[in-house]
Amino acid sequence: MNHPDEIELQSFAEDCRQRLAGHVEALDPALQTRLAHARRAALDQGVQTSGPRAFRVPSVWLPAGVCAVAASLSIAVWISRPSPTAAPTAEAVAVEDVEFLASGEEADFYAEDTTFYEWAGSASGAG
Amino acid sequence: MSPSVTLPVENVCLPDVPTVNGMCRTKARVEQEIEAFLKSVERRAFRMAELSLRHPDDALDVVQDAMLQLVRHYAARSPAEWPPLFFRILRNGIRDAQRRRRTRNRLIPWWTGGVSQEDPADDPMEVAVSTGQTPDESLAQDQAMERLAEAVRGLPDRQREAFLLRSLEGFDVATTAHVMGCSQGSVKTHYFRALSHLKAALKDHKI
Repeated sequence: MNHPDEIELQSFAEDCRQRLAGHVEALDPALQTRLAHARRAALDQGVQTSGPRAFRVPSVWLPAGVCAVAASLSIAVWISRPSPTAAPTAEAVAVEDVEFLASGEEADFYAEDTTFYEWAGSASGAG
Repeated sequence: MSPSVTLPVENVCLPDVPTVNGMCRTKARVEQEIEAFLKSVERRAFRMAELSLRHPDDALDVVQDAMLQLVRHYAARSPAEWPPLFFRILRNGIRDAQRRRRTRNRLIPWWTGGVSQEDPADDPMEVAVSTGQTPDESLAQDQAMERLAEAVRGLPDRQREAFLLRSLEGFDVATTAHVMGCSQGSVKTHYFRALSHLKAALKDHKI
C-alpha cells in the first residue's frame, strides 16, 4: 500500500480514529452516569434471569408442536371410529332379527341348506 | 474421614459457569469480569449508537439492551468472545431501531395528514444541551467533530458499520466481518468506500 492516495487515505483514517477517540473521551458526566446505571440495571436483570433455567420451548417450535398434537388427535379419532366391517354387536343382531320377522319372508328361503348344516354338525361332532 | 479441602475460588465449579483454560470460574467472578468488560466498552458503544441513531436516549436504550442480552445469554462464554458478541448484538439493536424509526417516519406524515412531527434530535440546540458540551472551550474541535459526525451519519448503513467498528472499536477485518455477518472482502470494500466518502465530504475542512 504505497500509492500516494492510499497513504493519504491511511492518514485520513488515523485522523478520524483520533477524532473519534477524543469524542468518546469527551462524553459528559451526566451521560456517563446514565450509562453506569444502564450497566447496573442490565447486570441485575441479567443475573436474575440467567443461571440454571427451567425447560422452555423455543417459540419457533411452538406452532410445529401445536400442529403435531392436532395431527395426532385427528389420527386417534380416525382410528377409534367404529369400522363398518367390524363384527355386529348384540344390538345390531336384534335389529336384524326384528327386520326378518317383520319382512314376512318364507322361512324355507333360509332353510335351503339345512341338510348341509346337519351334515357339517355331525361331521364336527364325530371329530 | 478425609480432611476437607478448601478449593481456590477459581476451582469452584457451578452450573452454567464454564471452564476457561481448564479452570472453573465462580459466578461472582463471571459477574465481575462481565461488568469490567461492559465498563470498558460502554462509552464507545454509546457513541457508535449515537452516531447511527442521532438521539442520545435511543442510543442509551440500545446500549442497555445489548448489555442485558450479553449478560443474559452469553455471560457463560469466554471473555474473549464477548467483544464481537456484544457489538454484534449492538449492531442488530441499532438496525432494529433504525427500521422502527423509518417505519414511524413513513407512517406519521400519513397519520397526521402530511404534517411530520419534529424529531427532537434534529434540533441542534437540543443536541448541544443533551450532550453537555461547552462550545466556548473547544469550539473548533467540536465543530470538526460535528462535521465528521454528520458525514458519518450520511454514510450508507453498511459503510457506517464497517467504519465505526474499524475506527471506533478498533476491530480487525476478520472480527468486523464476524460482527457484520459478511465476508472480509465486503468489510474491506465498505471500509474503503466509507473512508473515500468521508474524505470527499470533509475535503474543505480539517478534521
